[in-house]
Amino acid sequence: MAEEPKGVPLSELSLQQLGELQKNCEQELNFFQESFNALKALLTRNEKSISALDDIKVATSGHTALIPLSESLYIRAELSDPTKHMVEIGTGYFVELDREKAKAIFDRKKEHITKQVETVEGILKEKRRTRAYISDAFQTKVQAQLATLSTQQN
Amino acid sequence: MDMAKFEEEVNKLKTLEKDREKYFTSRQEMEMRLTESRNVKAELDLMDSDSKVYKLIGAVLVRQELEEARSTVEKRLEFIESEIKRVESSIADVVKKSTEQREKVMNMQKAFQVLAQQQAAAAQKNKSSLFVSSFRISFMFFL
Repeated sequence: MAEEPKGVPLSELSLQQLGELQKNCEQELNFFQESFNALKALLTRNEKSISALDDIKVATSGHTALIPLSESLYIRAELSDPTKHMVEIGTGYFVELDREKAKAIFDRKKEHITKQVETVEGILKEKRRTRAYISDAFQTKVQAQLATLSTQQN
Repeated sequence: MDMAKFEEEVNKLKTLEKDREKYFTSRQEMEMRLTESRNVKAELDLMDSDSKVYKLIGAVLVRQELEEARSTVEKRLEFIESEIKRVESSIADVVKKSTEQREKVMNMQKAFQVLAQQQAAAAQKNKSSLFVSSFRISFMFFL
């Protein structure tokens, strides 16, 4: 939502309008920064799944392993079939897949998220630039007003 | 000019803006669900027909036929899409209303300002006429 119709130079806005604009810009920036962080976290989680798949590659059936039941509770269990993996594909759906197919899912996910990260990164850069422009205009305006004020006093 | 009426209109505007905010959040949530469901659909479409699909219900994984899962997700996608359309029309409606309301409030504000200026001008006039009459009185006393 544009606060002002397009094509109004920043220097023609009042201090109050500039302040408003600055606040809006800040809010948008925060929103995209949060999305960016969330996407990065997703990427790390996905990366962990990929490396876990790699770890289990050498396992054969009958292998014992400590399976985490919580962050700090493990149980020793025997792998009956380490070639089958349960993969969550979203909204509560799980699919039993072999290593290649599971890997393919994680790779697709990685590609998808990476694309999104790039998009958000681009937006962030642009928003930061806009913020700099606005705060520049704000400063110039304040300086100009101070200058007229002091000449009036003299 | 009625101050109570003005306040009422301002409150109406505030309610409209709150509604708009609410609709925006719910659209955002729905869009997130839509993207997730679309991803699930894409993955399910790539599955071999003999794939074992499970649905997490509470804490239990329940086996589901691939076709059934596909049609469930398909239906959900349609549902979310229609919900988003509904929210979009609500948003368009509330945006239109709040623009109108804002104009109304601004017009009232302007009218208030004009009134205040008129009153100030009238007060100024009164003061000067009072000054003239008091001057006249003192002049008479002088005589």
